[in-house]
Amino acid sequence: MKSFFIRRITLNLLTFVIMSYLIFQLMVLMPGDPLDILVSTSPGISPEDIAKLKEIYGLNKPGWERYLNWATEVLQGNLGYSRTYGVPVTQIISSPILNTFILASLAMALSLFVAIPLGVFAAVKEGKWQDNLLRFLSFSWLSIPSFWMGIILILLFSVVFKLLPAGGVQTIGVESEGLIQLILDRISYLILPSLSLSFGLIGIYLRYTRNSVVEVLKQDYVRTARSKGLSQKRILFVHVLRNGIIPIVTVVSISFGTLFSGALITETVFAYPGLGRLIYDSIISNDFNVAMIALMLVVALVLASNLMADLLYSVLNPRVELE
Amino acid sequence: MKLKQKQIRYSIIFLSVLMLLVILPSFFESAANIQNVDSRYEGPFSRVFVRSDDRNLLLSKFLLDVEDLDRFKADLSLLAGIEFEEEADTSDPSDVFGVASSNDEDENSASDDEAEESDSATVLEAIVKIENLEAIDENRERLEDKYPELTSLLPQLKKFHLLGTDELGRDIFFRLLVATKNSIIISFLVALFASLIGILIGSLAGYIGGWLDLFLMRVTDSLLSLPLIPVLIVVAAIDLTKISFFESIVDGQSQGFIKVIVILSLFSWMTIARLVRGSILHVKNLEFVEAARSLGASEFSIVTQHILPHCIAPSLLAGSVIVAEAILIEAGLSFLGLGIQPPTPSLGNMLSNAQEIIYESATLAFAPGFMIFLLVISIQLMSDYWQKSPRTSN
Repeated sequence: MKSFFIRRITLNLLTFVIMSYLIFQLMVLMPGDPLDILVSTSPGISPEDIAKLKEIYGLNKPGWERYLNWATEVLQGNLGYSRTYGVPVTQIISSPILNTFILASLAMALSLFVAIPLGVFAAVKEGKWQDNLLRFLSFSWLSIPSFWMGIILILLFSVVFKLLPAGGVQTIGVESEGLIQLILDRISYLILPSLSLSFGLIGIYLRYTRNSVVEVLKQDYVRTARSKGLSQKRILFVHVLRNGIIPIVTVVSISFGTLFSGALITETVFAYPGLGRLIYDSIISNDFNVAMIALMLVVALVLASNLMADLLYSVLNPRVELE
Repeated sequence: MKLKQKQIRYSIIFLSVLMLLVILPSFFESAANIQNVDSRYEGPFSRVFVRSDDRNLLLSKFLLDVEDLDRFKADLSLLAGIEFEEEADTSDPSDVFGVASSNDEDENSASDDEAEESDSATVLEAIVKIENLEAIDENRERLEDKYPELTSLLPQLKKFHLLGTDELGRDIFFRLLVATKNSIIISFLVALFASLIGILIGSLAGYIGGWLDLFLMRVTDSLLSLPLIPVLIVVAAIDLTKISFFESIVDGQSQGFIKVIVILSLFSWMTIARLVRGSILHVKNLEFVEAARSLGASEFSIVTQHILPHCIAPSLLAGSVIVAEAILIEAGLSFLGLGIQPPTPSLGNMLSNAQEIIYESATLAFAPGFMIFLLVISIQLMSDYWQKSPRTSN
């Protein structure tokens, strides 16, 4: 088990390095290089000056050399400056991480909270109309584009009913009204984004829970439990759910990627200053350093959560031998 | 995979509807791009005048046919009871515009234009009044008897918009059809290419095995766990012309299309590769493969003729899921402005400024999203339906 995790961690680190190299090379291929803005804003600049600047910043070197330079800088703790804001990347990146973490975990919790009970219910009612209805619903939730869902939610809850704010993180000046007010205010800003983010996940989890519980319900030990005269409730929650939930852990671990993908679009729609929006904005505005660090952070988060899920999997299911 | 009679019938119906959605919009491609700034954000089921230059062309043609405008006016008041206000009243505002718009032009031609414009304005006014008269059939019939050109002119002057018009006065319904066609074509091509890549990688990994299997599956797993959209945004932002391979085949208009297809294919083959690898691992030690080998079949023909046919059914199912996902992701990318570039309509870029225009035109914000939903859910349900088919073979 220990050796398994050492191997997994090294593999993940390797993946991380390869990903960072690939993404770096892709960034090089994006239109415009770091000097373009400087050149376009200073008309007096001569071609020799540009060449000199390129020499200084190492822009005339081949891609792999630039990557090595960048990587050594980053490893020494120098993440560089944001070109758009003119401040160190570390300053820009800290609050979006927290925001995205809150949003993503809220959406994840919400979707599990809704999907698992519904999935178990559908499995118990296998083949009946409730099951069919829930299957149709889960397909619908999977098929709704998340940005459109966001727009519809905004239209419903903030324009028509005027219940919830349409976007942002908090009302300006709410800090002065006390901690409880602040928390309530921030929660009200989180409801719509996490709802729209969790819809697709609910669809996925519901289907997997249902299928896995249906399988478990056919097992011999469930029949044994039933023949012992245990109540349906006890069978479901003690015997079935504990086994039926194991495949969900795998699905959850795979869906962290989906979660961050969805977060990017959701954050854009709701003007929520998270990591996804930061990635989008920095790529659009050619802010190379920020985009690179933010993307690598997301990749690291996803890889780490996959590893966590593997660990959890072995805890939940002792039958699985990690080798 | 053996399908029941009923399932085959439903599948054929479904696929032919998709085919229709691809073929039909080609006829509307030009209609979808006609702009009309005078009628932006019209509601659904609206009938609005065609573009002003088209309209003026039609009206001037009609004026040539009528020849005598005064006689036409007299007939109008006589037959249909339409009265005109005095010349001075109607020409006054047009005078202001006439002077303002024809400042640099030659004096003579300017006044000519002006006269012509006020004439056609009069006819337009008359026609609006005739339209209002529609209830009184007798008068209209008498008018149309005398001026047969009117019958053909009236329907030409106005255009019907089933779902209204967008921010440039383009017909939303036609744009929606063309966008749907684009989405379907893109997603099916993506599924095709992704399946090819997936089958290649999956069969290499499954059949050869060893370190290659380990390596390929590691790549597959890490790609599978990646946050797709952030990575796609980076890839979508790259300039294809910086890569020499694409430089020759890519131009401005098709760059968006090719880019979306290439990107999505490169990032959606993973499920198919895993499936194919799984079924190859399952099949490759069965007796019939051994029999083929002992009969002297080459490795290549064993894979292509004996093993791969067993992977077709699961790959088709996975492929249909890829189609659905590709539609969603393409819409998301185009929504963010990185996929299909306007003016080519796509379901995503029609929604790209939906947040701002939601007050102006609710249909414009609603219809494309609903279309995506319909497309994706029908494909998902269809693939679910296929999945439930009784598998007698395999």
